[in-house]
Amino acid sequence: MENGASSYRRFLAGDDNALREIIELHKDGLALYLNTIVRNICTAEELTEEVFVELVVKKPEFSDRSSFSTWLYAIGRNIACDYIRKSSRRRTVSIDELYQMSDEEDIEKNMLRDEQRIRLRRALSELDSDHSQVLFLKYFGGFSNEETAEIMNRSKRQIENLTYRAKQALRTKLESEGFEYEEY
Amino acid sequence: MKNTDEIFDSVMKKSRERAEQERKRNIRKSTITAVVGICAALVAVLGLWHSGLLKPVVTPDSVDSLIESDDLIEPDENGDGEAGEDSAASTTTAVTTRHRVTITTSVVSTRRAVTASQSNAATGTGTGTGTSTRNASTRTTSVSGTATAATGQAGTSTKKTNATDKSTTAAAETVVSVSPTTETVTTPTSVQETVNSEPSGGDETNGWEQPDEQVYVDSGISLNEARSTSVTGLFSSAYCGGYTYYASDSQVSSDQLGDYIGSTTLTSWVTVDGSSYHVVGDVYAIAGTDSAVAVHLSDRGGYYWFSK
Repeated sequence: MENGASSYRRFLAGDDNALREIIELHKDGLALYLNTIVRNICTAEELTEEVFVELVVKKPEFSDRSSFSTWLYAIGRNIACDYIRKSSRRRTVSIDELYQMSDEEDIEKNMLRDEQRIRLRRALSELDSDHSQVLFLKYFGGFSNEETAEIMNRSKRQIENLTYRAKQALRTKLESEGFEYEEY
Repeated sequence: MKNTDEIFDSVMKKSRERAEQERKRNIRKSTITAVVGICAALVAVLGLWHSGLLKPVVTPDSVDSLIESDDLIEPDENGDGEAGEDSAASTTTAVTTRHRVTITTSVVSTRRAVTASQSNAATGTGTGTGTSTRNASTRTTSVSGTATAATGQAGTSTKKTNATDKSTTAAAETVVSVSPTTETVTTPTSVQETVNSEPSGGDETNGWEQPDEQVYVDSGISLNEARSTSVTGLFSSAYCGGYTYYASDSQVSSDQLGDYIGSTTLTSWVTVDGSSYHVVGDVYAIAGTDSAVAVHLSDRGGYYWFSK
């Protein structure tokens, strides 16, 4: 349950180095999760910075009702949804898309390290956003159904159904690409 | 991909920029709020001023000064030193068998000049009485009277009203009949009437002076009314030749009459306690004395004397 909660309390008490610890701990996972929403790793990185800026500027109160990472990912999801809502009104093509693949590979190597998990995450990114989010949070972020439900602002039952459909979609995707997998 | 330090520096820099933007936004918001508040207050004040709630109240002193000014009140036209009267009434007797009688009636209003005139003319020989009553409260003038043709001649009586002549002229040499009539003078405010008389045939007045009283007979004798059915009640006193004579109920025999003073026009038609009295008479001095005059009162069937 710790996951940076004590660091955030120290940051609220005035210790800026505590924020550095939080960034170190969550920057990659948050970026990859937000990438499942915005489908652009550069944008996901910018939004990840926005999550930390939000912590510094507004200093939202963290309660122990959930883990710190659940709370932080929920903030990131809200910011990403706001971004999508605003960007849908002004559709732009980022020049950073040219460098997207290399950035994404760096992050994947930092967080996943395993080649098979990297290929699996890339298959996830081709699913629709909700399927991609739920599988990433459960199998790459390590969140439980309750935590995933809190981050995605859904009920636990909805997350269970969504997970089932997401796994079906992923299986179809991997089979079409000749990927061999073991049933979980 | 940025490393942790780069992200940390970027986050801190953005945070400072956001804080500065927030501070400027708050200043701008408070400035706009203040400006809008001031404008709303100005609009409210202008609205109250326009609706008259903030205009100066006219105090009683300023009202008095307005009333005293010439803007609202016309000058005292009749010269009596008063701005006006709220009501007035006059009773005028104006019938003669021998003399032309002119009665001038002036109607003066302090707030708005109102004039009226009436003209009565008849020819023939006879006697008659009449009254003219002005009621300022109802703004009406009532003229009524009766006349008797002494010679039995047919005659005419005319009366007309001209609201611009400022005079009433009654001329009668023979009045055959005068029917009670009512004329209405439209006056927006209360009026005061004054009655003056200028008898013709000055040699027949024998120095009788015009009385100051309201009741006036053409030759210059004025009778002050009393409220009784006796002669002394009818006329408590008479004013003649500069003297006041007091009435009595005693008759004077014809052999007691002295010099004819000249007036045969002592004519009055008065109402006392609801009863009308028709009085016609000549005025004679009483023989051997200058302290009394005799007046023929036709309704009483003889001469009654008035003493000084």
